[in-house]
Amino acid sequence: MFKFNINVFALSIFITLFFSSISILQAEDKKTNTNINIIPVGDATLEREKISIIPPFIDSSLSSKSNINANLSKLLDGFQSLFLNDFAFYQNKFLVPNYKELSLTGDKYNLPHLFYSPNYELWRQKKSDFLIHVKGVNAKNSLKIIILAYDVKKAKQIYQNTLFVTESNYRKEGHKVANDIYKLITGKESIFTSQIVFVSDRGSVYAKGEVTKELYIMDFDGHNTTKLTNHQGVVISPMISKDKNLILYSLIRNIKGKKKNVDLYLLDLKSQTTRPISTLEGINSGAVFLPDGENIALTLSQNGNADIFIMNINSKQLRQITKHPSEDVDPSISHDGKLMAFLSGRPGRAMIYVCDPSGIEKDVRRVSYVGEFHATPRFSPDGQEIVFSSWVDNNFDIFRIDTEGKVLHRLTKNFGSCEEPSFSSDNQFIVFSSKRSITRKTIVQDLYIMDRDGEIIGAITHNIGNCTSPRWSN
Amino acid sequence: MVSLPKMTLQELKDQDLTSNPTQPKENEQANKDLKVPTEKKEEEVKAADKDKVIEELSKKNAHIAEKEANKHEQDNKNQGNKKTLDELDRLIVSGNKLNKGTQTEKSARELNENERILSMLDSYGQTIGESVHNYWKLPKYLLNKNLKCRIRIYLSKRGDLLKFDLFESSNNKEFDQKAIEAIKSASPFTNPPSEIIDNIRSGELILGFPL
Repeated sequence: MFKFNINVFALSIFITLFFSSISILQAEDKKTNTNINIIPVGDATLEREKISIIPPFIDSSLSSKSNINANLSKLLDGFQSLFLNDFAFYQNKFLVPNYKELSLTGDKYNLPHLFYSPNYELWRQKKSDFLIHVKGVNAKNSLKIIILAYDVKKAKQIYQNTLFVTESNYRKEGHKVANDIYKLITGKESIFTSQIVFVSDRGSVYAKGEVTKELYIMDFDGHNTTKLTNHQGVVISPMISKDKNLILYSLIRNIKGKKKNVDLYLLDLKSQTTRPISTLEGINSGAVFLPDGENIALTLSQNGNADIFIMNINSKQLRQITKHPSEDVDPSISHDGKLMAFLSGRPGRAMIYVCDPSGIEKDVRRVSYVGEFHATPRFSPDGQEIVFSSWVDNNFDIFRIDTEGKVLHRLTKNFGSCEEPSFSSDNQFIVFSSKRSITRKTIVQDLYIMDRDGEIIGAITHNIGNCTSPRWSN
Repeated sequence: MVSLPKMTLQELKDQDLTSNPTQPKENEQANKDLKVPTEKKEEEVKAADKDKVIEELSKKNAHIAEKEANKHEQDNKNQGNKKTLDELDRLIVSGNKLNKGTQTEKSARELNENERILSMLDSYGQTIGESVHNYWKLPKYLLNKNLKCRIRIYLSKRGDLLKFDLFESSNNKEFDQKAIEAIKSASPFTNPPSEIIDNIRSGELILGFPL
């Protein structure tokens, strides 16, 4: 009996010890707190600010049915559409719902509850971040427009402006206001007030051999196309200055008795004057402004071989930058003037190089290695990348490479022959020409805009001849 | 580079999104590292992170690991064999830890209670994850960059955000900030069940962006 008791006793001690050891384990667990629950939130969605552009409010002074008022209402509509289109360009930054998507009740124009301070709660429910409201008032038969912008999250007005607009100035004024609001929201300049210079063969009769290409300018959105030259020759390689007052371009013209030459001209938009600034023998083309605005880089072939020079447009003094028996053409200067990208035939086929334009053949470095041949290398505004076209699969397509030559991206494919890309000044968009065959005999060449990653936004020219050589201004 | 790229940047991005979501990609690389040493530093770093995760998971209750594995399988439709292999690896690894066991009656009861609490914590965590996802937005230049961070959250008994800390940074300040903003915008969260109040207050929930 006693023996048995001892065993039971021993067993109970063992059990107690076992229990306590278990509790120690548990306590230890708590201390190190190994209970971690990792919850995956999943992939993020693209962040876009929603800008609701409320249908314009028309003051009662405009609503009577007179001719003038009908025109003014149309003008107001045009102003409204301009806002919608401008902000919609930045499709990666903004979501701009159209009228239907806003799902506002009531008549399109008269929504009295929006006339005064907006109902922020209502707009918060609609998940809108910003509101833009345009109101029209008849002011002695011209249209007075009041533009108001609101920040829904902060529940306050952020912009107010009053304009007197006419048919001829409403776009310019509208783009300025849109840019003001864009700057308030993002802190950056937009493309809304920019222009694009380009060349078009409009009016040419190819069958008769009467091909003329003239210089044109238009707003970035394709409106207000204006013809700038009437040389009856062939204009090539236009370039606009930083202050938008000067345009460089080259002209190929057949003058009887004279040898065909490619001369460089300067158009002063302010004084409406044109003057030749380089008429050396051979090629004087591909001119681009240096940051100082007084010097230009251009391709000259006076020595029989195409090389790149820097020229002062006033003194005409020349300084040679490239000196190589092969052809060196198409200069592009980075925004700070420290690098020059150009096209060179030195490796046996046209490849992209960069160099230091402060000397001759200084720090020349090859950037591109692949491809059959390239054309028109252009720097991005931040100088980090070069966009160019390249011959691939019987067509030109547009590519983007970093200045070091390490990362190469293809931007266009199956979109006709895409050439002559030019960056917008905010680094977000690229304008280019795309040529496609409609029938075996007819081709169509229009200008298109895509974002920097190759997403096509749309055509900006239509039915105004074959358009090429676009250059985007500030 | 032997020739010009055949695919455009847009095409490559679309391809990335449909066939290679970040989750399986990371798992694949972790697998590779466990079995075969890789050359790229990037992959090694990713695998190291993964090792850490597996280590953490191995300390968890086997029941929870199983639940998570099941949930991942449900969430991701593009499942390769490698992914399931990783699930099994994790299950095996987590099953190899010291199980509390059913040696005594008292322990068995505790185990069930623990299981219950952890599964409640898990489902509450899921609702928080979904809620934060609605506010989880990035500007274009931060998307598709394979960045990831983890934020540990501490909640009150009512579901208010008491505090948070950066459990794992993405090394991109803006990315981390966007994640924190998403959590702040989504809070306060719904009332948690009373049983898990201690757990959520002591930071047992960690939100992974994206996982």
